[in-house]
Order: sequence, then C-alpha cells, then structure tokens
Amino acid sequence: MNIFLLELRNLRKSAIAGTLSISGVIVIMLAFFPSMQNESMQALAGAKMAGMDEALLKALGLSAMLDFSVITNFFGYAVQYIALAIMVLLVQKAVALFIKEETDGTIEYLCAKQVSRGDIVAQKLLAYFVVVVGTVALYAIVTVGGYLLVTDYSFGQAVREASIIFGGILYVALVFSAVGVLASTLIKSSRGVAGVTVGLVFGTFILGIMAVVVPKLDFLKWFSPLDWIKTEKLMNEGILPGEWVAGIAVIVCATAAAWLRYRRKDLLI
Amino acid sequence: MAVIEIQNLKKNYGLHVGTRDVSFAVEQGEIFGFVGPNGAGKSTTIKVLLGFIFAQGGSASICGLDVVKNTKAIKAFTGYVPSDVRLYGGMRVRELLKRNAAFYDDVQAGEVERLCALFEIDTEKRFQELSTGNKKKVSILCALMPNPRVIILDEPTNGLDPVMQKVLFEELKRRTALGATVLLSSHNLAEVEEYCGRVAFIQEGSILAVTNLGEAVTHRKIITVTGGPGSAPEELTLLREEGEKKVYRTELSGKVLLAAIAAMAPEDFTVENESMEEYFWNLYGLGDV
Repeated sequence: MNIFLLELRNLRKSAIAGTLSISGVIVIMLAFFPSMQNESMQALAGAKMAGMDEALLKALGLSAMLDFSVITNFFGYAVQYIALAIMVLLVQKAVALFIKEETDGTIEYLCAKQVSRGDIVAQKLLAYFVVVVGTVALYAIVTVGGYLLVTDYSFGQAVREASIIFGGILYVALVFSAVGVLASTLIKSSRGVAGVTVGLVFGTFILGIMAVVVPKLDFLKWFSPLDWIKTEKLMNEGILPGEWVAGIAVIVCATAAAWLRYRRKDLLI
Repeated sequence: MAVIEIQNLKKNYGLHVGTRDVSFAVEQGEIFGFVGPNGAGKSTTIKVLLGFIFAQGGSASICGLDVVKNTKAIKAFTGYVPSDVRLYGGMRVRELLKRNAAFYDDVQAGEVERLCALFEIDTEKRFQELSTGNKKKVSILCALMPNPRVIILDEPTNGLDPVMQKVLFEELKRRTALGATVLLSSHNLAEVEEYCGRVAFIQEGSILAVTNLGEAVTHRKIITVTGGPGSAPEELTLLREEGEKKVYRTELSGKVLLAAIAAMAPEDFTVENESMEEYFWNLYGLGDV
C-alpha cells in the first residue's frame, strides 16, 4: 500500500484546495436561496427567462424549472455549473495521475522499487478513487447542511436530494476520470494535462448543448455525460439504463485500456 | 557465475537507435564498468535492465530472471542510483527514507542509521532544499538500504565531493567483498580505472569491447620520444605527433622495449603504463586527437 499512501499524499494539497473552493461556491449559492423566495426577485427572474429563446433555456437546463423559489430548481440549476467545475478539478487529477510522475521524473524512483507496473496502476487508481469519492461526499455533506439552514427540509429529505444530485455527479466523474486516466497513459508530458482536461469536459459539454439546440444532433447527448445528470432529468427519470450501460462500458474499457497500456509502455524518463 | 546477462539487446526510439547490439555479462562480486560517450546507449541498456523500457530484440536477465517477466522479483534484490535524482521534493528526507524502507521486506533500522552517518545525510531537510550532491547521497542511501545483491549505478559520483566519492566506492567494495555485484555506468574514467575489474565500452549502441583492465591497460606502455634520427620499430604504434614529440603505444616491455627505444636514438623519452583515458581514446579511434 506504499504507492497508495504516496499517491494520497501527492493528491492531498490540490484535493483540499479544490474541495474548499467548490464547497465555498456551494455555500454561497445556497446562501442566495432565501432571497430567491422574495416575490420581486421571482418576478425579475421570470421576466428575464421569458425573454430567452426556448432552445437556449433547454440547453441551460431551465425548460421546466422556472420557479427558483423551489430549492430543487434553484440549486439544481446552479449545480450544473458546479458539476462542471468539479469535473474539471477531478479530471485534471486523473489526466495527471500517471504522466506527472514521468514528467517530474519520480517514476524512475518508483519503478526501481519492489513493485510491478500493475501495482502502480492499481494503487494509484485506488488512491484517486478515494479522493473522488471523498471530495464528492464532502460536497454532498455541505449541501445537506446548507439545505437544512436555508429550507424547511427534514434531514432525510435533504440527504435524499443531495444523494441523488451528488450520486449522479460521482457517476459522471468516474466516467470522465476513466477517460482521463487512459489519456494519462497516452500523452507525452504533463504540460498536456490542462488541454486534455478542458477538451474532455468542455468538449462533451458543448456536444450536449448542440444535442439540445439542434434536434438532428440529438444522438450527441450520448457523448455528453453531464447531460445525463441535469437536475430536472435526474430528479424525474434518474440515470437511464442506456446511460448506465454507456457509462459503465466507458469506465471498464478505458480503465482496462489504461492498465494494458501502462504495463507495456516505455516510461518517459 | 554471471549475475547480469545481456544478449544482443536492441532498442530503437522511433528512427533513433538506442542500442544496436549490446551483449555482456557481469560476474558475481565484481564492479563492472560501463563506459561510452553521451548517447552511446548506456542509459538505454540500464533502463531495459530495470524494466523502465522494453527492448525490441535480444534478452536480459538478472540472477537468471528475465527482466521483463520478473521485474518485481528482480527489484527485491536490486538497488539503483539514477544519474539525475528526482524524488518527491516536498518530503523531508526522513519521510522519504521511511517510505523507501516500506517498499522492502527486511530493511534493518541499524543499517539505515549507519548509511545516514556514513554519507552524512541531514534527514530533517526537505528533499527540494538539498544540493545536487546531497540529493545524490539520499538516492544512494535509498538504493543501498535494503542491502541489495545487485547494485546498478548511473553516473553515481555526479555532484559528489571527492570525500563522498571515496566513501561510496569503499562501501561498494565492502559490499562486493560480501558477494554483491555492481554495474557502474560512468564518464569518469579515473574512477572506472581505479575501481572496476572489467569494463564494457559502448559506442553508437554497440559494444566495442569488454576489457579486463588489469590485462589490457597495465601491460601496454605509452612511449613519448623527443627528437632522434632513428625510425621506430613496427612494434611501436604511432598514436600522435606533438611538435618534436612522438607518442607511441607498444606491448613490448623490459630489455626489448629499451632496445627499441635505443634504436631511435632519441634526445629524451618517457615510458608510462597506458592509462584508462589513453585506452579509451584509442579504442574510440580518437588517439590522434
């Protein structure tokens, strides 16, 4: 478990910084909620959205959620963008997972020890998984706390809603992460991490917008995991069977491909 | 018994040749030198031995274990000191040493303390705060800590002061006397000459020669002759001319050598054993430089 502990240590600082900033955003967003229940604020938001194109509203996940005095609608809208930020932070770590050690040169030390490449992959993935689950769980806890403070939800109701929202985010984060981990075994330097991360997260996000705006491109929603967890859909339909199959297939295939690739690749030392 | 065996190792990086044909064997208990210019294939060979990269042809084994199939088992008894030491910069040395020890089954705390004292390592500093030489010392300690049977060193004295260089080689000699085997890749011909029994010379990915230094170097003489009307006998090979001075190499010795020099009737002459450096220059066809 030595590599697992080393990796946890390596991920520690950026994970704490990312978690604090996202938690801060969640708290700030929820702190705005009481003012959204004000009638004049509702009228203002309603007027603004009434002037927007329906397709654009749909792309923004607002089609049937115009009442921001309901916490699920209000936080559900904000959480789409929070989810985007969470994906960027987590996928960045996934893409850096293997290549950073090569660029930093520490892999030369690690690989000279009594470990196999398989050990390195397994323990690094486990450490990363712990960080992903831990940070997403923390966001859910912060959200539950926020719900209890700004709404009249019971503890059970708050936990249920936060579990659905952040369970979906965790699932999609694992889908993105698997692709990020595969990318980490393919790219030549950690200088490519930011580009791959942005391309992966925002690229698929844009595909999702195109799928909504252009009816003919509806099939693109399959390539946009963030669309699978738009709050309105998540609350009403959950994650669809096809989305489970596609996501799990991506997780399994990308992780297996990364494992096979890393076992046989020439390390860039 | 050969501990490290390499047969016809071939490794390309795309169009660039890493090693073309590398073969040599390192016997138990010896300090074996591995010498060659930059880019000759020394580091590539070591990387294949340690499983960092994979060869396209040939084979390599350590203690009879194939380096591709048994890499984890090999690392259990192999220590490695890289040329450019890069460890986790934010860690304190004592934490690095603790984590390094955790990779092995039987690291003795007393041995770690002995090595820390021997190499004068400050364990309280963060790794990134250390000088190049101190980083190298930490790397040496990490490699030697589990008492490895096989020690592979790539330019281990880069950055080390002369005292620490001496300490390192005394420690290596002590370990080889106890049965450890050392593969030393180095540009420092003086240290290779002083400590290695045999040396593999590599150029452009191929082994030029595997030489027993005791036999090859010390029995050949370098004769520098100044002036004189006579011509040199054919047993003296002209290496270079430096003004009036002519430098020859020969395998002659004793009275026969003195007679050959006398036949040239020089104004002055010197005779010395061929040095490792001289041997290197000539082997690489650079004797007239």
